[in-house]
Amino acid sequence: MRLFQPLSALLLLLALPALAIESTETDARKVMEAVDAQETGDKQTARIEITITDKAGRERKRTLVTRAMDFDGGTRQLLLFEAPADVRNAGLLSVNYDDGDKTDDQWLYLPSLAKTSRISGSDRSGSFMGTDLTYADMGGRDLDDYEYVMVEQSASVDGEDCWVIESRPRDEEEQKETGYLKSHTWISKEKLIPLQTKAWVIEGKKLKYTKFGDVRSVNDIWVPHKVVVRTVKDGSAVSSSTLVFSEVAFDQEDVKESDFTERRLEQGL
Amino acid sequence: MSDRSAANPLFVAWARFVLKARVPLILVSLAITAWFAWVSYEKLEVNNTTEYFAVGNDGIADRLEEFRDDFGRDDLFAIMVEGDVFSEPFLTRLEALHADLEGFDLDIESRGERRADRMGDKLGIQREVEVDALAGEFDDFGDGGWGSEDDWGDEGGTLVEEVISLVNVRQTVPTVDGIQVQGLLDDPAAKADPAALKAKALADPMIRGNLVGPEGQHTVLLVRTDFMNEDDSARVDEAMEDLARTHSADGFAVSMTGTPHLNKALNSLVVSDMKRLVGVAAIVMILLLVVLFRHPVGVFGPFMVVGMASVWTMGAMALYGAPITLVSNVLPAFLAAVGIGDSIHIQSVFRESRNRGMDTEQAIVAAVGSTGTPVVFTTITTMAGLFSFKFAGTVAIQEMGLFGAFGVGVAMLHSLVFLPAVLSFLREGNLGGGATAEGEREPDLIDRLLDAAMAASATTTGRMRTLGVGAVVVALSIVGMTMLRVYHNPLVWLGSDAESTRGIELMDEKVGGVTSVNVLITSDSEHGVKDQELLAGLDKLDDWVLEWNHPEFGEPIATSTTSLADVVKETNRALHGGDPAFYVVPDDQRATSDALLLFENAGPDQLSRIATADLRKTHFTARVIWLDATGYLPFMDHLMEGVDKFLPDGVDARPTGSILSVVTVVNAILSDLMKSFGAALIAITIMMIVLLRDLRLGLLAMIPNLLPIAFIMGFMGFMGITIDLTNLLIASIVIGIAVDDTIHFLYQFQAAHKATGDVEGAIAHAMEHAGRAMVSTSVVLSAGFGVYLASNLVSMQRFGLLVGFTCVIALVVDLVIAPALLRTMYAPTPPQKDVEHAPVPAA
Repeated sequence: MRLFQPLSALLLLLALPALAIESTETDARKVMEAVDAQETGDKQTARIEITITDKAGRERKRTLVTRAMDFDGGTRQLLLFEAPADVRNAGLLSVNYDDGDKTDDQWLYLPSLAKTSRISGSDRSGSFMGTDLTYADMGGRDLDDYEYVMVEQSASVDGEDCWVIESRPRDEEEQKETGYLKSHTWISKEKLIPLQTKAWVIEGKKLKYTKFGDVRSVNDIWVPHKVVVRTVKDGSAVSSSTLVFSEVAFDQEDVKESDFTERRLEQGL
Repeated sequence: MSDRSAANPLFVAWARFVLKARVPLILVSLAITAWFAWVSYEKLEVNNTTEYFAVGNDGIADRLEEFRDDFGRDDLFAIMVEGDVFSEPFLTRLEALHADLEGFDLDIESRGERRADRMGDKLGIQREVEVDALAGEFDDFGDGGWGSEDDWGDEGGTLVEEVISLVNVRQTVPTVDGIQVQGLLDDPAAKADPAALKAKALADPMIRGNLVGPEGQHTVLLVRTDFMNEDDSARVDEAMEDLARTHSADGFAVSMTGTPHLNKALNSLVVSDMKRLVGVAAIVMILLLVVLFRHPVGVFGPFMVVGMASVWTMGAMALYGAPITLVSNVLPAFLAAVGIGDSIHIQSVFRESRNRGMDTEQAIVAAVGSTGTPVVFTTITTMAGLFSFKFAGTVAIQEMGLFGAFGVGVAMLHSLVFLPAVLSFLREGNLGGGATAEGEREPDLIDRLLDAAMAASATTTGRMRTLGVGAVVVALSIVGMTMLRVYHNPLVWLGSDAESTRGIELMDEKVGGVTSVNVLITSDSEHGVKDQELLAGLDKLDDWVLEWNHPEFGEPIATSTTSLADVVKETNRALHGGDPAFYVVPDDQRATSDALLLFENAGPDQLSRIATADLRKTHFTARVIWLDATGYLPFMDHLMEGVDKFLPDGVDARPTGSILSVVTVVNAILSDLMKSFGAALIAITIMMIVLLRDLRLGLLAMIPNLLPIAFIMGFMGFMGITIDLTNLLIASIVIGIAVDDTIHFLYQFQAAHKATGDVEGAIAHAMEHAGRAMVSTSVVLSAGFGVYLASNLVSMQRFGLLVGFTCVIALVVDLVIAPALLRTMYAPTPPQKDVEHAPVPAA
């Protein structure tokens, strides 16, 4: 079971530059390729406020600051807890490999221990930091592992015209790893980014709704600054999560290789 | 009262009305019966969960719902597997079974359905209101972000939310430079070295005695699903058992167990029991009716009266949403026994009237006119006895009282409507009564019995002896009553040989039991449930509970505990290289928060089962072995003493769980009994005084009413027969029955005494005119309750025997003690009039 996962993956997933593709395109696979093939920004920084809410409306909040940087073959990310006060300066350093067969590396720093521990284990269908998002949601995926079907040529999300595309894992292994039977993605024809998704969670026959909102352009890259997720079962909410991104920036000069070391992790905020 | 005549004009008029409108009345009765039968078939449920019996008691049901709202379903499906657990073939099969269970699915209609949702208003359960924290955010989804009916269709997905077994039991283990969180069998090398795996697993307190038996010969797979109703739970249990059995092999013996399995067994027993009891009751009834009335009409009428009373009662329960339980299961046979009594009285007088030369219609008017009053009064007193359950705290018992009373009322209605209407079709014959006049027949066994009863207190010595024996019986009964004990254990009802009983016992013995006791803990302190002092307190509570020896058994009954403290200890140990010295709650807040932060991110699903999202509410759970419900009382006391002792001030801790529900019910039983019985006593005393219009006689009547109850309770005490949910109703049911005899006897006595002023003559008259009918109805009632001997459930058999026995005691008291009391109360006076010619009502 993976303990922490870099948020950069989420940022990468969301941060997609516009691509020239015909808005009348009917080939679902082509749309997904266009979405997938885009360059994403490097040397990024952001602050993330996470709110986890249960069905009774009880909340847990966490604030993290993060920075990420690409390297040949993957991405490195530093993630530090800012709030609440009792976990401030706890942090995680991770190295994500593009090669899906290679296990990511993670190091955890807990101030009370005053030392860094390496964390092992992997489970892509596991929850990310207690939210409704899974590690599979956060990581990129191999387009070839899925079959795509155009469900709707035109659907409106926040007033934007979207394609609705169904993705279905080709094999049971991928299905098991992600935990999803299938998912529907609403892709903005204008921005070529997903604006919302609906996923069928096999375990317990749940449905997961994700909405990417407050989309703003940062360095010519469309970045949703608010992600809300709700897991429902039998028409009632199991839980929901809100991730609000602020101070999102790319190509930051102060993001350096030396930021992604155990020593820097232990220095805290 | 001297103007009383044999026929009450009101009932005479009623009988004439029934005769005029007999066809429409029969058709309407049958139509309503058909409708109630359909409603019962469609809607009547069976529910024997302990939770249902908890409803109405001290907010315990609310708390249980709150626990389930916050932490999910606590009664998991369980599959026990026997074999050499730590061998490669076994582990390979176990992995395959685990995988199959993860993919288990069944189309069920009640998925996610909670009893509280359907019946919350009726049962007064308050559930937490769901909050739409993201209102409006998902409007662009066609379904508003709530899913739609056809989202899944036949596409897949599983009913199962989690399978917990040796395969995936979470291990937070140290590595060379850090920690690793993984399932026990995730490491491919684990299976290759079974001996090392066995040593490792059996050294882990979370595994040994929890998931694997201490000898490594048993293991259990626990399956968590969504909530569902009892019927669907039984279907899932069955389908899961079928699936599990496909993995059965030599050295891999699979069996289903757990609470849902036990509930299924109990429910199916109740259903089959009810069918069997109804069948046997029908046969017994028909036989008795054939013996008594020897004509198809004489059999058909009473048979339909009691059948329709049962159907109407079941239909009313279905309409109201009251399920059949182990308590209300007694209703059909009870209604048969009580309902047939009315019919016998009416048909007996009808037969006598026919013997006297009346035609059918005249005989019906005479029968209904003269029996109407006592039939109504005995019905009202029985209903009062049953209505007394309204004062019970337990909803299941309230419902039994309510629908029992409804059924008795309906039986009376049918006796006064359907029965005379059907009798009117009898044109020939007199229901087997012979043609001779009543006074000319040869004395039979009943006459000899009545003569003996009459003679028992005829002399002063005899009277003193009779009353003395009565006093001794009362004194002994009181001693016996002090020995009465409450004991509630559904496993005993099933019998020790039942497969579900053996399954539960095996789980107790090998893997820590199927039941648990929970404490809901809420903390509003700065750190909520992460508070170091609270977690350290929970840690101490672990030992406090696990090391406690039950006073009766001399050994612990808690087999394991679960709390946030365990999570913190396990993580802390892993963070310190697996050093056992660190299997403790850290002594500072920061380290505690850090350990929980790790868990929060490593196992959020597990976290949600042990703490709420805001980390302000958690639970402490102790798994316990199966005992009778009262056995948990000292444990609960000890647990809550520990809570007070170890948890910091300001923490709110409230006990809950299925077990506590039973414990609460058992506690409530005695006060329920006292309350409902007290209410019945008052109501019946008032009714006796009103009916007899004589304060002194009304109060005296309560002695023969109460004596049989004192006797039976004392008898139970001496015989070691314990009170449980199935027999706690004996006293209230018996008083309803005992009163019937007393009413008939004293009604006749009083009428004759008023007319003649002669005590001896009046007693003789009561013996003559009420005694025979009392003996007949007592035989019928005893036979009716004797039907319970055909029950599958030991407790039901005992219940039938006890009530049947009490009917006999009530008869003896009325025929022997009551005359002695009357002779003592009324000074003998010489006869003033001829008793035989006095206008007296028929019995």
